[in-house]
Amino acid sequence: MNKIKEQCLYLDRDPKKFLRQLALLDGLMVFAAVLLGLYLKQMVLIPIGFALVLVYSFLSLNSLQKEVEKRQDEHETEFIAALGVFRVYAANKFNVYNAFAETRDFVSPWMKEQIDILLRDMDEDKSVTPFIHFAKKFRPLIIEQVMTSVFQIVDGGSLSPLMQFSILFDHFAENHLKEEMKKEEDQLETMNVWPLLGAGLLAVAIIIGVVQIIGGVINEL
Amino acid sequence: MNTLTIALLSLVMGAMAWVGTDNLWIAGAFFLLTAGYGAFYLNKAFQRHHEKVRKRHECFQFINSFIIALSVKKTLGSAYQTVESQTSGPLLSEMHAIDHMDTASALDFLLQYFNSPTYGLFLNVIHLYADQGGDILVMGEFLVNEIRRAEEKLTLSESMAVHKLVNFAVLWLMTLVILLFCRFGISGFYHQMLENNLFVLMICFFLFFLLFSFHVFFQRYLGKENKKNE
Repeated sequence: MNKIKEQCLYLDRDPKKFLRQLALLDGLMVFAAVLLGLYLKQMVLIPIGFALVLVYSFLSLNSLQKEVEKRQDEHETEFIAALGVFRVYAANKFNVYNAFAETRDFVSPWMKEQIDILLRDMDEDKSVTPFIHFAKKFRPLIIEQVMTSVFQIVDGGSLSPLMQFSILFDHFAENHLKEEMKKEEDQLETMNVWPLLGAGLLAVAIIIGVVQIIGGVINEL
Repeated sequence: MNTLTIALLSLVMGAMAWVGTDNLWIAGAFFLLTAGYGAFYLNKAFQRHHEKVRKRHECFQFINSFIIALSVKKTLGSAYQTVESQTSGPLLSEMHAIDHMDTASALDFLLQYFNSPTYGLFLNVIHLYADQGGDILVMGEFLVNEIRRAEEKLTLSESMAVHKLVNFAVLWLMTLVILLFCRFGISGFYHQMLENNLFVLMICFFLFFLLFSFHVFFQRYLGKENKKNE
């Protein structure tokens, strides 16, 4: 239950509302199955109804999980885009604070909000904590390392921490690009199932045609 | 996707519907459905997509060339002229149209044409260079890195989509061969099956499923492209 709550909150959804909707639809399906089973005197419809409820609940929870993963992927892509911009400014002698402030103009509203929080935290806390806090909003652990190296630019102020950050960031960005390409490829690859389903449909059509012909012949006998 | 391709695909779809159902009305309906889908949706979606990809390539090319030209010529005006002499196509027409502007304004104006955050970032680097000076190659190093990564992703994505589309089309072609074989290999038997309305309905559903699967494929490819940022 805690996991569902966490997932809903991550997606800015009300967990209670989500669970209420799920329970309502499940209840309706069970009610319809019982009613239909009693009305048609087909008791087999009742377990079928329960099975449908289980399948529906599983699919709903699964889609929630998928949505969370998709959102996390989007945030990682946004992080790479934002830090790419940040690096351009940092390399042009902007200090870390100003570089992040300038980066705000080139990022999504969500990332802008996160950068605002980071800048606010940087005002109040001069340690590495704001950077770690920022990194915690993303899944890959390497982001923590990247943000720690950003903090070292603040701390050191020389070019070498920037180079260290660049190496880490490039490594992460290249890996992310590869992963993204793999996901894209997999998504298009799954489309290859459709022609097979089409062939299945054709087979069913032919079976129907053949059975009808055989039925006709038997009736004539 | 040009008109000839759409016409050809519509003809193929109509022909397959005629072969599958032996009914000219159904064949006509599938021909019109495919032609309508191609002309009113797919054609426009592909045009939008190509336009977007072309502009992104142009933008990457422009930024790259401008930074190199600026490192050699040292002034914005000369760099702009050098890039203009290397440019062709719609971007060149756009540049000619704003010839009366001074270089800084022309560069700012091109932001509307490219409509890209990368170009916005490039403009900021250029403004920084104009204000403070420095070595543009060093100043733009990471920007060029970002561009290279975006360009690499775009190229990989495009070639992979084409490759997957060919795979997908070949698989559907093999499925259609089964239909053709049934129609012409067991012709007499097939005609008897066609007397059954349910069979005809199933064939229509199969052909509709084929069209729908291509729609989903293009949605996944073009839809994702639209969402991607640079």
